[in-house]
Parts: sequence; C-alpha cells; structure tokens
Amino acid sequence: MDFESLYRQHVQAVFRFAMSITRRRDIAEDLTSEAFLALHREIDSIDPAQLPAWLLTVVRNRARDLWRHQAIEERYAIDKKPAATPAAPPPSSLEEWILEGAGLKPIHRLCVMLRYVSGMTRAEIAAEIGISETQVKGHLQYALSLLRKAHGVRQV
Amino acid sequence: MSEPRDWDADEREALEGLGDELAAIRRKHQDAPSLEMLRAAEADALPPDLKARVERHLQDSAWSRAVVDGLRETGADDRLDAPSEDRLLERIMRAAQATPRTPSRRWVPAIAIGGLALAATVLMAVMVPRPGRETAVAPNAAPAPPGVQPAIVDNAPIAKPDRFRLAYAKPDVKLSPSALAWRGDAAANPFLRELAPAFEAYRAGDYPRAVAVFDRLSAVYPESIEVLFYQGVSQMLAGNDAAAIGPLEAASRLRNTTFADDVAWYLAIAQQRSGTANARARLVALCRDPGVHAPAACAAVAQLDASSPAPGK
Repeated sequence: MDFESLYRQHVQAVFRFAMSITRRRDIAEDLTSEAFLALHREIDSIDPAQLPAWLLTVVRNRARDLWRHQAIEERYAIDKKPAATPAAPPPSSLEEWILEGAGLKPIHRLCVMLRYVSGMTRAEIAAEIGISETQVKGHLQYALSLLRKAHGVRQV
Repeated sequence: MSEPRDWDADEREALEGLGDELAAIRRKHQDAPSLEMLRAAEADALPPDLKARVERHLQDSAWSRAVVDGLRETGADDRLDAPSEDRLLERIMRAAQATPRTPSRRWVPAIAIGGLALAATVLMAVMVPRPGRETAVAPNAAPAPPGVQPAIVDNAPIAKPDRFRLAYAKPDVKLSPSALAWRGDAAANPFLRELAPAFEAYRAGDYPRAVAVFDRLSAVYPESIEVLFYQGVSQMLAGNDAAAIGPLEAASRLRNTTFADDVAWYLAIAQQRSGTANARARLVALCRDPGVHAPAACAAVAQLDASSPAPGK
C-alpha cells in the first residue's frame, strides 16, 4: 500500500489520539505530522499490519518528549518552593456531593468541577473537553437541578 | 478563568450560600495535576518519572480520579476536516521530500524547503575555556534522532576572564514542520522568504544583523519557534547573553517538539553566562532529564561546581 493510502486510512485515528493527549489542534497536528513523517522514512520496514499502533507509539513518544521538558520546568519550580505541604482537609459536604452525588455521571462531575471549581467559562470547558457549548450547558443544568435537591435536603 | 459574576441567574441561585465551600475546594485542589497532564497519563504519554508521580497522586485523590473518569467520556468527535487532512498531507510530503537530502551549508530558500525541514540540530558540546584552546568535555552521547545530521560544532564566543562562563556550540539552522505548512509553490512561502535574510546573516556570522532581522520578525511572527529561538541564539552569539533570555523563554512557552531540547539547553546556557542566580538549578534539572542534552548539562554542572567555590550560582 502506498504512503498516501496509509495516511488516508489512519490519519483520523492518529489525530484523534493526539488530540486526546493535548487538546490543542496545533500541537495535535504537529504530532500527527511527525508520526507520518516517521512512517514515510520507515515505510519499507513497517508492516502495514502494525498500523496504526506504530503511529500512535510515535505520537506517544513525541508527547513524552514534550512532557519531559515541562517536567524540567516543574522540577525547577519545585526546587524553589518550600517543601512543607499541609495535610489536605477532609472533604466538605459539597465536595462529597460532587464526587458521589446520586444521579451524576462522570461527565456531569467534570463539568461541575471545571465550571465552579476551576472557574472556566462554558466555552472554555467545551474547547477543553471536546464537546459543544450547548452540551456543557445541558450537563451543568442537570447537575444543578440535582444539587438543588441535595442542598435543600441538607438545609432541612 | 471566570468568576462568579460570570454565572447566570440559574447558577447563582443554585450555588447561593456555597461560596465558602467552593473556595475551600479550590484551595484544596489547586496543586492537583492539570487536565492536560491527567489526559496524557491516561494515554500513557508521560515520561516514566512523571507518570509514576501522577499515578501516586491518583491513588490518593478521589477528586483527580473523578476528573479522569469524566475525561474518558469526552473527545470522541475530534477529527480533521477534509481540507485540514489535505493540508497536513501536503505538509508531510513537503518535509518528507527533504529527508534523504544533505542540507546545504548555505541558505538558499528553494533548498531550505527540502534541506532544512529535518536538517538537524547540532550535537552539543560543553567546552571548557582554557588559555589558547577549547576542549570538548561532554559530547552529546544520546543517539541522534532520524534525520539528524553530523555535528557541525563552531567555537563559542570566548568567555570573559572575570567570571566562568559555559561555552557552547552554534546550532545549525533547522525548521519545524509548522514552518513548512504552506500550500503551493514552496519557494513562494512568505514566512520562509522573510526568514531567509535572517538566516543568511546568521550563517555568515553577522550576528548583529541577524538580531536586527529576527527582532523585526518577532513582531510579525510572535509565536514562531524559528524566529524566537534563533533570535535568542543570535543574541548570545552577538555577546548579549542576558538579551537572549527573553526570546528563549518565549520559545520555551511554545513547547515546540522540534525545538524543545535545544530551547531548554540554550536558555540554561544563556542564564548561566549572564549570571542569572538560578542557572545552575536549571542545568541540574536538565542533567536529571533523560533528554539529548542531559550529558552535556551534567558536564556543565560539574564544570560550574569545579569553577566556583560556592555552588548554587
């Protein structure tokens, strides 16, 4: 199979995987490009049956390179921080509700966390997790309806 | 980041009286790994040491485990549209055509499209300035990635005699895949055309002129990794190490995969040479890192410690 056919066959899977790691289209395109460049160089020695796993491995390795450098910066920052870490306080009732509230699915919890704890706008959440803003709004409305019930019960 | 004033009436009503609890939750989890890091951990795309740290955190944090559970339900619809798919293929093919070629030492735009895309970075060496000669003490021991050319090591500027300064090798010219994302005749790529005079000056050793051109380009292309990286390196080669730090820090923030190793290395060198107090800490971090400049960074730390009675500079 020629290179372009392999590209057409696998590019969406590779791009989707890169997006799942980075959530930034520009970086995901760079990673995808690098993976297929590597394939182009190695095409004579790659068994097509190894695809797309081989391509995903290239993406994963390139992503590790990125994180390795970010880790250097973090380590560098950590070296400058005081070492003492206070013990985490026990979860509040609201935190328990976010984590364990009946009726909430993981996507609802995530939207609540990002909106009300991380302070993101609906548009930012939509871009960050790859769903539409309308979906984000719907998830939040559903979660808040459950919160009202739980909050009302707590206050009784 | 939005504040409560960004909430609509429904949200304000539902969350009324919970502000203190929300603030406490924020404080409690402010140091949790970012979404990006959790996502990368989930995809096994973190280096081993960082992955181990995240896994340890996840064992202890129900909060972050819930974030990961939520992330698993997202992103299924990410895809390239047809024009983007075609554009990316063109970009790949343009860069791929360059792979087997030996890059010219002279900047010629038409050749640069081919020769520079994957032409590689230089193998680094930390040089110890000595009277009358320079000795390589830590050639880069890491295997070169595919497409990397043999080393072209130029002498670094001579260190001033009053304080020890790490010497370094001049990096060769290379381009990121993004610089080649251009539809149509490669020679007509406006970005490469604008870069050409800067690289001409850089290759010719006319670093003040290179700095002037890269300074101008940085206003036009503030997020170009090529412009920021070579702007910083040109400043170093022109003898202005402190002036190199800003562009190199900006380059570092771009997190470009093609340049990440070199940006981290030259930033550390620029900081050391300009007397930045925390330069050694950055070199130590690079030394611990399994990256391509780790051996050189370890040697640099050793040289710094040997040259100074007060390590930590």
